[in-house]
Amino acid sequence: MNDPVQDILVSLRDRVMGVSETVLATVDGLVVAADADKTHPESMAALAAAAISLGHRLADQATTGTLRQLTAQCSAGHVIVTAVGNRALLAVVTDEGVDGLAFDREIPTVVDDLKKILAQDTA
Amino acid sequence: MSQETPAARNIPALLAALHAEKRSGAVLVSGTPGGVIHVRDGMVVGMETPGAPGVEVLLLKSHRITEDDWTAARATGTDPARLGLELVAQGLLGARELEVIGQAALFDAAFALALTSPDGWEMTAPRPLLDTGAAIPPDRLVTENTRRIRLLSNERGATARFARDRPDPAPAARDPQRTARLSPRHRTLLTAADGRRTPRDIAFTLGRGLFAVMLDLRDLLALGLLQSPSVTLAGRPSTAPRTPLSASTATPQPSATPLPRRKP
Repeated sequence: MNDPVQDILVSLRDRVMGVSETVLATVDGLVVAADADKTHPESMAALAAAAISLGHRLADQATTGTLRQLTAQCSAGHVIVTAVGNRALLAVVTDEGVDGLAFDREIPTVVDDLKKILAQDTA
Repeated sequence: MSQETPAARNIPALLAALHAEKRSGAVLVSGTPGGVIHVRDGMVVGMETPGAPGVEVLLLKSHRITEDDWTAARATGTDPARLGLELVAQGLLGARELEVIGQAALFDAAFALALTSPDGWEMTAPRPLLDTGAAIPPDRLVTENTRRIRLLSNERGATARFARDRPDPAPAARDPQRTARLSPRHRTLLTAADGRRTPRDIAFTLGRGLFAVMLDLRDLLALGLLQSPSVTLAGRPSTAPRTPLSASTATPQPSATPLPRRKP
């Protein structure tokens, strides 16, 4: 049987056209699970953790409320970082044609499912 | 213009009705994938869908237009809809070439949308669209879709399943003798198919049409150079809050839990 977290990451790639890689990491930048092939999960985890912490400070500095999501829009794709509770984060790599509507529809459930599973980690 | 949206039982019927009435507007299709169908005076002039690469992807990924030229054309302050025409005016692209690419992208998007049934649709006012000069009567799109689906597998369901497949190179693909006679186009496809990408993902990666990619994939499957992917298993570490171990349990055991290491 597969790990449920891994299954969630793989099913996100299945359900949203254009999602190519995902890395679930702790806020201090360590890999928890990855569905990745072209990117290096350890590096993605470290950078995404750094990015989201900068994002929190940006939101704070600009007084724009709570940070919901961080997106790096690039010429050949995007990197989207979402907080998963306050201990983890999810970095998603997509191509430029990603189905944004489907992504916005799926991500809250994915984050919620991951949060529930990770909340069971006590040791 | 406050005409009612014609009642139609499917999108081809709706487009035919819009064609008969010479209407203009955008049809928003919801589904997986959804998309936008742009209609001008009854003719279909463009389609955008996450299911197939659009004009911008085709131009940039194929390196026909460089990223710098694209950014420069956008910086001239022209209406985004006229960006293609701006590239033509700058001599970077032929007017006919732009139209051909526009038509190819349009047929490809129509094919991608035809593979699944839409959840619903809604007619709205015309929306901005990268103008390419392409204009196709809707019945031609329908006949072309039928031809394409038949060419791939004779049946829509099988073609739709093939479009969701994530082919992996078969062991035979590593045999240089087997791949020596392939065209460079097929060889590129073998390196792009990695067991994670659907035909749509490969089309976006290479900047080629979805239908063209599926035809070539079918050739490679028939040659035994591609196969369906294998499933891999993996566990994961805990995310529990990291608290220092109490003195009694924190006996030095260097081999028990190695520190996480970054590899390269």
